[in-house]
Amino acid sequence: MTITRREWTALLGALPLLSQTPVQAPAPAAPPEGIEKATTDVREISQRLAEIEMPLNIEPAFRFVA
Amino acid sequence: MPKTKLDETTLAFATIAELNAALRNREISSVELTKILGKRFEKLGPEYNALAYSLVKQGHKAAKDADYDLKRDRFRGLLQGIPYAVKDLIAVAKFPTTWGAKPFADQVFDEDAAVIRRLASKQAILIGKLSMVELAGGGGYSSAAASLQGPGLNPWNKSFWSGGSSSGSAAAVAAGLVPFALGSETSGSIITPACFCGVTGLRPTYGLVSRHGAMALSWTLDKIGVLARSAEDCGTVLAAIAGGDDEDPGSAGKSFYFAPQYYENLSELKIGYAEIDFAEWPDEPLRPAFANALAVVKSIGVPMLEAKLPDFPYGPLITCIIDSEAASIFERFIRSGRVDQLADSKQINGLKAALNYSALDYLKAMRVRSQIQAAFRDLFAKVDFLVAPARLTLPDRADQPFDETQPKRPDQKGVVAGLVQAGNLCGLPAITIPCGYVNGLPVGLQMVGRPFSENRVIALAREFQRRTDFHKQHPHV
Repeated sequence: MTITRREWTALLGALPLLSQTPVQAPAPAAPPEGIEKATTDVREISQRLAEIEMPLNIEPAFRFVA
Repeated sequence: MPKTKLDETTLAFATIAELNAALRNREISSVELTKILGKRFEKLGPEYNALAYSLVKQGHKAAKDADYDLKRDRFRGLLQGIPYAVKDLIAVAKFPTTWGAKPFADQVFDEDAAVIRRLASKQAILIGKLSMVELAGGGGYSSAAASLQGPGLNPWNKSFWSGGSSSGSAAAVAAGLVPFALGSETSGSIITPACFCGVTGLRPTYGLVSRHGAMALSWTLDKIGVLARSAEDCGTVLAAIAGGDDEDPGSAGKSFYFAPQYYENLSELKIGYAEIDFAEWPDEPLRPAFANALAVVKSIGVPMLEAKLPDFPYGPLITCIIDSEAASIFERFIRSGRVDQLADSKQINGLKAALNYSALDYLKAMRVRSQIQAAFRDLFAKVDFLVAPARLTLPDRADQPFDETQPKRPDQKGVVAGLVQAGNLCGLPAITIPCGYVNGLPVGLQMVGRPFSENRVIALAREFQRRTDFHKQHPHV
């Protein structure tokens, strides 16, 4: 099993709190690598959009049928 | 007990026109029909994880009213006395509308959606709500299990997914639980499940059907449409639900009269298509079915021109638009952490990450959308339809994460690559019809037309269905 530096940091940061924290059902929240991947996807789409050259006079679509 | 001599299987897989004839000829009453289909709905619906909420009991009361009028020859059209069900993002007053998601499991609205009111005015009989991918899949999702009811199972083979996000709508029609159902599409949510389940699915032009009372995922892309047994049935239902509505800001204010007979002379029209879409783009086992389907289309006698979709990054564009609008709509839900109660971790992350889109991103995507719309107006000056495979693969397995490895596809593009996204970005009407079976699972063809050309699109699909019987086949349930 490999543990990333980010996971180590999170784990070590949480240790002092462990003894004070009441036992709870595990949160169903998604693993951190999932949010990183999703954020990277958004960044890539932003970048791809930024690269599209656009004449100045093109307005956004305000009607949604061709 | 029902007294009709018509057997259950005949009734379960009958078209709207056939059921209407049986009702008007007094071969069966609406109460009897509702009992038979209602029993199937409640018994078989859960087997496909298709049933979100049964309204069969309420349907019996409406069926009695329909019978009362039918007995007195007060006819209200082809849908009178006919049971149907809706995707669980369409509000039915006083009953749960869960949007397919656990955090909204107890949600109840006070008012019926506009489409429910319209169908009630035709005395169609609502018997239930149907499962769906949670929040119609906004943010993306990683498996069929992204639904409050569990993975949508395909009536042709329960090991496979029924498609999404209108999973229950497609499965319920395919399994003979209702003759038609309402679904919705933002990008592929009618086309995909209709194709995977071997039913006919109609995505109307943006703005033709009111979305008032339906969950919003993307204001500029959401459409409510129909899943049924034939193109003809889709036209009948569309005529009942279409029309302007001041309560829907996206409404085009247009009516729809189902009159495909005016387009009988299809030879005056033109189909745009690409040979490569049928011969090389689909997965190999599907190619013979698509070759056969293309031969049937050619036999109709409509002039066919090789066409190519304008070159735009449709996927990233539509993702940016849907996710930006969804992030705004669900902002409080996401920021409050309630989003973590969704079933699919990819979707949770996708919705959270969507908060990072900037106004610049969204406006750029909408400016490119303007260019796409202009390019499609040019394309539709040359052709009247675009025809292509609806999906290039068979459904994913229901019990495993979706296979996200990109299969090898040709470098050369025709029409199929990006057609679902482009059709939605341009608000174009589309129909998908079953066109063959591979390993016991259906494959489908999509036909796309100009805005508000539903009669033409239905006429072409109807002609295909006159020449084939794929739409008449049904799974043994």
